[in-house]
Amino acid sequence: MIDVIAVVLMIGGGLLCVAAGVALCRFPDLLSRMHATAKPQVLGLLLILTGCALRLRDPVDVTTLVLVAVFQLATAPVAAHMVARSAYRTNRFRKDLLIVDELAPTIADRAPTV
Amino acid sequence: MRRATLPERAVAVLGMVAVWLLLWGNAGPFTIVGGVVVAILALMVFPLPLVPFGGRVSPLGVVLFTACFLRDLVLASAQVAWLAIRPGPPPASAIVAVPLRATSDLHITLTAAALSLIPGSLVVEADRDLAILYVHVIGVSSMADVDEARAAVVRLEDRILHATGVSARLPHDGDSVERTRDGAAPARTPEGSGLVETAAPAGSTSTKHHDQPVRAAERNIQVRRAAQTGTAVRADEEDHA
Repeated sequence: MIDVIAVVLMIGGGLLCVAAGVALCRFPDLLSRMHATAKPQVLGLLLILTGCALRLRDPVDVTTLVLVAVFQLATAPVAAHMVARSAYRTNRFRKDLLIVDELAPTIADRAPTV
Repeated sequence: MRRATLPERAVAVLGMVAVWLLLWGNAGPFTIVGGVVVAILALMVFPLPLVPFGGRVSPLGVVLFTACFLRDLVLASAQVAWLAIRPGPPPASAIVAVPLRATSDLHITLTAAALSLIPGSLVVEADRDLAILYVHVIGVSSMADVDEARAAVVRLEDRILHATGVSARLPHDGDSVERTRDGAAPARTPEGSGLVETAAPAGSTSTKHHDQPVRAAERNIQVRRAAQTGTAVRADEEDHA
């Protein structure tokens, strides 16, 4: 029974990673792609790690998996933010896809602090 | 910079020892002693800046936040996955400015990190002085969606504030803002002018309902900018604050 749950979790996580890969190809600009790569990955990875933990059941392995999850959750936002920030400030995004951009006036007001 | 007190250092050591034990995968006496030695050495060699934490962790709040966070994570992951595989044109997006209630570094960071982990929202820019997050939201098609996204960020922040036990001490509409040392209160806005989350100008009641949060947010941002640059806010704006 536990194995069945583990399999379901791992397949679910794998499907999310596939969706992230598809989004990477189909989304039009960097900011949109960041949503796909940084995000479904988080849940996908968590599902796969949970599935692995259910299969392994060895405390040593499980604690390592917990650390992987913790550091993933701690580092992914920082990386995503830095990439998004530099993408925005170097204009590598599609302005025509934005229905509102409330950051543009702020950036224009001030001297760039890249 | 204030030096860390003994209990604060003990917390840091405990945290590092916990990671150390997880890495080793066992909790034998030698592992623990080794972990404590390494943690103390690391703190002496690389002293970290102190992060002021002026609240009290509320277990119920943490549980509530975690539950809502997991729910958002699952729902939003499915939503972005669907946006990726559905046929049709690329999804539209928006960059939304969200003024936060708490201005401490810790709460801005926690809110931004949680936002970044949830699909569909991405922090493009964080204004530390004014406590404004600029969030890129995907899959929005109307201004109503934009307002909903802004409201969702505020709800997320509220749950974090509740979990860290500072929400009760934050000023609400009309309260005067006082400087406090714990960093949870908005120390960078002048008295009575900032932190108006939902109050809309009195004249806007006849406009469409979703205009109100937008105007309140815009005015909030203007007030904060004015406070930073030292310019006076017009008296009629002050009245509503």
